[in-house]
Amino acid sequence: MGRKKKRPIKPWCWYCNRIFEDEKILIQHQKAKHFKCHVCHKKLFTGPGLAIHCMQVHKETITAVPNSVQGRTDVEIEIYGMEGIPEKDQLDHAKKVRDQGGPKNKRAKTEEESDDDSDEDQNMFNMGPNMGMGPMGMPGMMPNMGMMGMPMGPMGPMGPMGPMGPMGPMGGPMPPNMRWPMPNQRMMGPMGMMGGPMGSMGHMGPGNMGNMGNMGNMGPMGPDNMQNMGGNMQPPPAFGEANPSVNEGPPKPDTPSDSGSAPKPLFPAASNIPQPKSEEAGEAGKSGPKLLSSGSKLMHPGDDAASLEEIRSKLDKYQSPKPSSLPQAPPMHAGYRGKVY
Amino acid sequence: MSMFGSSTPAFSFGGGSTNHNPMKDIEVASPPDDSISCLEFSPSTLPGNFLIAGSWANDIRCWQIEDNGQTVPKAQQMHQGPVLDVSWSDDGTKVFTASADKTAKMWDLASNQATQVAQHDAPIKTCHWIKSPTYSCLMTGSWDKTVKFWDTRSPSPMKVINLTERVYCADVVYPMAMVSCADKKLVCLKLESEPQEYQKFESPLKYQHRCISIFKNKMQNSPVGFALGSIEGRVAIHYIQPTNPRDNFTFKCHRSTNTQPQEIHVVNSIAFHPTFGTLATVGSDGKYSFWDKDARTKLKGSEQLNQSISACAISHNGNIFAYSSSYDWSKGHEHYNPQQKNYIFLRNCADDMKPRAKK
Repeated sequence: MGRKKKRPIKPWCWYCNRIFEDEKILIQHQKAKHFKCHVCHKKLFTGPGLAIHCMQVHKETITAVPNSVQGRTDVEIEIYGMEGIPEKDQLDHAKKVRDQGGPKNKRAKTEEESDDDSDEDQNMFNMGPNMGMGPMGMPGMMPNMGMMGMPMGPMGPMGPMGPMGPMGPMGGPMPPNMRWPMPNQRMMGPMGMMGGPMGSMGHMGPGNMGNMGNMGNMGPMGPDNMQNMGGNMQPPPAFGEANPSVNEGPPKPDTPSDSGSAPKPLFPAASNIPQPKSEEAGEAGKSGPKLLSSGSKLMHPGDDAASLEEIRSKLDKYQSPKPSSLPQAPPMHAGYRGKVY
Repeated sequence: MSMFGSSTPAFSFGGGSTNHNPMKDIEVASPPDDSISCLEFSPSTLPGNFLIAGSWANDIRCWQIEDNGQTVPKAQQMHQGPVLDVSWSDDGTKVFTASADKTAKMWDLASNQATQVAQHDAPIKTCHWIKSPTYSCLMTGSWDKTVKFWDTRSPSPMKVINLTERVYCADVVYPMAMVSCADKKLVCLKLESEPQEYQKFESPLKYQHRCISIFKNKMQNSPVGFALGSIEGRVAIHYIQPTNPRDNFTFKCHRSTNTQPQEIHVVNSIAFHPTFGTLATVGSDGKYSFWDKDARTKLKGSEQLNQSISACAISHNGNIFAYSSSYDWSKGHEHYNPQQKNYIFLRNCADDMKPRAKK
C-alpha cells in the first residue's frame, strides 16, 4: 500500500530545478553544487548552514546560494533534499512536470494508481500538489528521516547554534508535512509520530541519530502503523496545532492553500536562527578577539591560521640578532609560512 | 611546605580585580624576565626535584625545589631566540632546549655546558627526549613542517618525518609519540625499534590545536591516549584504541562565566598526574583546573590570576604542581606589557588531584 502514489514524481532541486532519480542523489547534488563552500570546499547540509559556516570560519557573507537559478537564490530558505520546499514552488513544479510528462507514462501511472485506491490515495494525492512530491512524500520522508539523523550527528557539535540548531533542518521539513496531514487523518499518524520525537530530539543532539534511524525504519508504514502512532500524536507540543485539526478528518483536496496559510511553527524559527548568528559572527572581522555565534568571543588575535607563538615571534624584539649560517633579515620567516599579522 | 617569599595580600572577592597570586601558592625565586613558555620537572632518576623553565627572554633557568618549599636558582643557559620547549633526558643529567632560533641544544647540567644538537629551517616548537631499550634520541618538531630525530652525537638527523603543516605541539611517553600540526592533523608514532608513523587521527576538535599530553592506563601503565587542548577553551580526551567510541569525548574549559559575551580562552598546557591519571589544564583566562577524565568531572578550579597561565608541569612524584603566570599573546600585541612581572608558582597537588572516589 505504501509506494504507489509518490514514486512517479521524481525528486527535484529547488535551487536549480534539476530532476533526479532519487532523493539521495538529489541531496548529494545539493551538497556538491549549492551547499559547498567556495573558500574551503567544505560541504554543508543546508543553505543557512553554508551561510553560517562562511561567516564563522571565513568571515564572509554570502548573499546567494551558489549555482542557483533566478529567484531561488535565497540563502535563508532551509531546503534539504525535497524538504523545506515552499508549497507554491512545489505546486509550480508539479504543474510543470505534469504538463511535460503528458506524453510520458508517468502521468498515466499516477492516474491509474489514484483511481485504484480510495480515500487514502486521494489524500496522498492531495498532498501531492501541496508537497510537490506528494506520492514521493511518505516513503521519501522516511529515508530522509534516517538520513537526516546522520547529518544531525556531525551537526551536533555545532553547539553554538544552540538546541534549535539541530532542530532547524528537522523542523523545516516537518511542519509542512504536519499541516497537510491535517486534512488527512490517516496521513497524520505517521507524520505526527515523526514530528513528535523529532521535536524533542532537537534537544538531544547526538541522540537524534538513534531516533532518526528508527524513523527511517518506519518507512513503509501501513494503516496499522498509523493506528499505533495516531495515539502518539498528543505529546508533541510543537505540533499542537495539528492535533485539533486531526479531528477535522475529511480530506480537503481543495484547500491546500488554506493549510498553506497556517503558520509553520518551526520553519520560520529555523530560518530565523541563522540570522542572529550571522549578524553576531559578522561583527567579528577585526584582529581582536573573534566573535563566535551565540555571543561568545575567542581570545585569540588575528585568525587562527597562526599560533600565538608564531604571531609573537614576528615582533622585532624576538628576532634573532646575530647572523648565523642563514640570512638574517627576517629569520623567523625563512622556511615557514605564517600569516602576516 | 612552608610558605616563603610570597607577599600576597588577601585576594579580592569583588571579581573585578585579581591579584598575581590569588591561590597563595609558592612563588619561585628569580623568575625569567619575559613570558615563560615551558616548564618541566626532573625525572625520578634524579633525587629531589629540579624545575626547568624556558622563556621568551631566550633563557632557560633551573631551580632546585627543596622539600620545605624553598626554590634555589641553580643555573641558566641562553639561546639566540625565545625558548619554546624543554625536555629532560631520562637520567636527569641533561636538559634539551628548543628555540625559535631554529636550533635545539643539549645542556649538560654537570658541566653547565650547552651544545647544539639539532637544526631546522624554522623555529623549533617542540623537543622531547626518547629513550628506548635500543636507542635514544631527541625528537624535535618545527614550524618547517618536519619532525626530526637526532642522535645527539651526530649533526645529521637519524630520521626525518615530513608533515603537511607546521608542528604545533607534541608529546612523548615511550613507546608512543603524538604530533599535531597547524592543519589539526594528528599523527601517532610508535617508537620501539625506531620512530615510525603508526596512525593518523581526525581531529576531535574544531579549532587550532595548542597542546597535547599523552596519558597512560592505570593497569599496565602504558600510554593509551592523549588529551588535546585547543584555542577554543576545549580539551579532547582521545583513546588510540577506544573499547567504545563513547570513551572519547571533549569538554569545555577556561571560559568566562560572568562576562557578556562569554570569553573563550586558549588552553595553553595540559599535564597529567603521574599516578592518579587526573589532569591539570591552564589557560589564558589566568586559571588552572584539575580534572578527572574517568569520572568526567572537574576536581578543582583555581581563582583567577591577573595574567594568563602560560605553562604547567607536575613533579615526577606527583606532589608539586608548577604553573607560570605570563602573558601568552592571547589578546595580541596591544596587551603586551614588558614591564609586567612573570611568575612561577608551586602548589602541593597531592590532595587536589586525587581522582574522584567512585560512588
